Amino acid sequence: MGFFSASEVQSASRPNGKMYSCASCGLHRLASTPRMKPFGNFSKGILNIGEAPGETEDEKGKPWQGAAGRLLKQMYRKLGIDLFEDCLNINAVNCRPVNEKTGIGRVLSDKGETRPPTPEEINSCRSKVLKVITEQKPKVIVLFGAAAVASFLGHRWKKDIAGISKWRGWTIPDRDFNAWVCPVWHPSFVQETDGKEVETIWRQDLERALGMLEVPFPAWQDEHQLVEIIESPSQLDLFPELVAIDYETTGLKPHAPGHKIICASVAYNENKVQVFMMPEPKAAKRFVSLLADKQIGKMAHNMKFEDTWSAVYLNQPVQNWKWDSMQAAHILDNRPGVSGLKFQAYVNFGVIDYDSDIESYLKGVDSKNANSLNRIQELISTSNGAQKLMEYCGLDSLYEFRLAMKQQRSIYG
Amino acid sequence: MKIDKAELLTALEVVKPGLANKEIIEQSTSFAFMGDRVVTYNDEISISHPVKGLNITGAIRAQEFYQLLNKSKKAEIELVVTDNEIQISAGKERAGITLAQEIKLPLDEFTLPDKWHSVDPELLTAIKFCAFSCSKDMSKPVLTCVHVRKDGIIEGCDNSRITRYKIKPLAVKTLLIPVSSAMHLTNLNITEIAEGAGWVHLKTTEGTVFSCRVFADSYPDTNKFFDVEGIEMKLPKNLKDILDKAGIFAKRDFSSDQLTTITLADNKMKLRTESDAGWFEAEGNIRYTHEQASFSVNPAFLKEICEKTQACILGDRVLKFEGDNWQHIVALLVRTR
Repeated sequence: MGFFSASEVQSASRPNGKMYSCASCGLHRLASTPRMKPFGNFSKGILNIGEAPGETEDEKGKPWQGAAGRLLKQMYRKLGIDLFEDCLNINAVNCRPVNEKTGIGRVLSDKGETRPPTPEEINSCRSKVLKVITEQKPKVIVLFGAAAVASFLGHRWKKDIAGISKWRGWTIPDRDFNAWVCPVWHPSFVQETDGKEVETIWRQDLERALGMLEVPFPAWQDEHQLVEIIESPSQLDLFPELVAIDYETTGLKPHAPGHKIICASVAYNENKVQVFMMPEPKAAKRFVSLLADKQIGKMAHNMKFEDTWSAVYLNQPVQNWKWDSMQAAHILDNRPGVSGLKFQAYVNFGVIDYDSDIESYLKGVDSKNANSLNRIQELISTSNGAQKLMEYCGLDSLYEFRLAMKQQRSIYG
Repeated sequence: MKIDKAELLTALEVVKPGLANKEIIEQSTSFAFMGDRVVTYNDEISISHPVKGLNITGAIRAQEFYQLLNKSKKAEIELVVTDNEIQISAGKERAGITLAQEIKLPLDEFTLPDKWHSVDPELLTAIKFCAFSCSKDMSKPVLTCVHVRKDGIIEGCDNSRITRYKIKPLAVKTLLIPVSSAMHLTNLNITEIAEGAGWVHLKTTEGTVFSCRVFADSYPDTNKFFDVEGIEMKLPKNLKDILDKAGIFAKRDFSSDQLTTITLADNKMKLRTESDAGWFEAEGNIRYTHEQASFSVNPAFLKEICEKTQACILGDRVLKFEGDNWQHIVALLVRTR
């Protein structure tokens, strides 16, 4: 823990410090159209990011010239969009990926040996992709397939990025680029998959993405400014009818000796949160009274966690649970890997990676022991560790509150 | 063609930092001759330097050519280019080194701009001064750069300390130059600067053109850390020697874990460092009559700045040192009273 968090000192142009360039990639030497330029008139502000040029694209020098491109063009036309008039088109990798061992791309293409781009090639081309986004300022970015997702997110999403299945269908208000980001399947996947279902889902995802053209990009203020750190729970404000709560603790389960709640936060609404270091349970009366108050509804993300810790550590079972935003996330979308708060905060509010410098301290030292202590005490012993932990805790309950409200609007209308 | 050996060797010395250790990129371990210039490129840095009387196009393996020239005692050498060879004659000795006539270095990665701006000669002093604070930890990529700000503030930070040096404002936008590249600049007499896409270019009075890649990222805001209030004091003059010894017992895998604990009370400074191998303690006199304060700091970092001054301000979380045109802060861990 030093002056800056891990996320503040990351580099988009050099992920993990490694330099990626055309020279280190080398695909341009094999391509008929090296470093393919963006193509399209961009009149509606849509940026399509595909995987990489194939044989036909490489020969013609433009993206979306093959069978997959034709399918996309047709689908866009059905949805009222002209692929090359309304959009700008680029790829995650701007040169055609081919096997270097056999020879030049043109010879290989006759044998049908175009291959998917490697992670190194995607990394090498990322700066070009990001440059187009930064310069052109698209309203909507459609990411076609896993390579496009990896290109756009790979340097910023430090958790399990997984495949396109996890990402498709979301309309993400990405704050770093002030654009709606919409991952969808690549048209070649739709083409190669039997059955109408895939095409229907693809069409729905594209409709949803294009619908974002009419939705103004949200104006958020920096949520760190909304987190009020208070010295003790006795300074908590008057509670409204509904609050979201969140704990940072020494481990997953409270039962083993030595475990405790380190800090807690209470979100009062979508723009107000207070957070404090948890004193001994006896000195946390005001907070305990909140948990006991049957008139005040409680919300959490994975409420089982807060429920158990409240009952065991504070000796106060939580009264009147109203909402668990993790369960609701699963009900709204039951794909694996999408119900975590960090994923939900990104896809719903465009906030990426607000926990990377805290995360390692919250993992148990012994991954096989559920009662293991984590390194949170080490974190708070550093000069600004406690403050960072409290900010993180506050943001958690703030996003929980916002997420719960959004979910309720989605479920109840 | 007859060439002054010393001049050619000087040119090779100047462009050597642009050679790659391994030939990941074709010809990146070669000297490329482009007319009257010798050029190197390793994908991070490209350097070119003129040599009077030289007129060759092609690339030649750097190691053999440099070693041969370096061992020659003659003041003048003769170079003759054949189809695939460059023949070097010096007195009664002759050698031939394979010459690739086509230059395959990807020099199209950058374009030298037309517009150049003069630069404060202090720039290199500033870079050198701040470089020691830059991080070598690639998990913090942005901090492995020297931050060359348009407003003339040059800074380096490794997340535990920040060093700043003020020069005249620059005529180019703010730059993030990898410290590994910037260190090669410090031996050159840079007079002009120009910006390119993803690159910065610098020229010397001798005609060297040094081009290096820059990071396309933002540096975190350091301003907030320099506003330090606290106790002004002067550290003991012999602290450097004490810290040197303390460093023996502070060795750890990560620099953030290499700590010595300093306690100030009753005009005394006590220092203690421990490791599995043993411990070290020392005491020195200091003018300090405030309440007892204790903090931990990396002894090597403190020693480096003590080379420049002993006057400092003890803040809540940092020690701040200041000179005429520079400032330096070191983070303290768990300061207690």
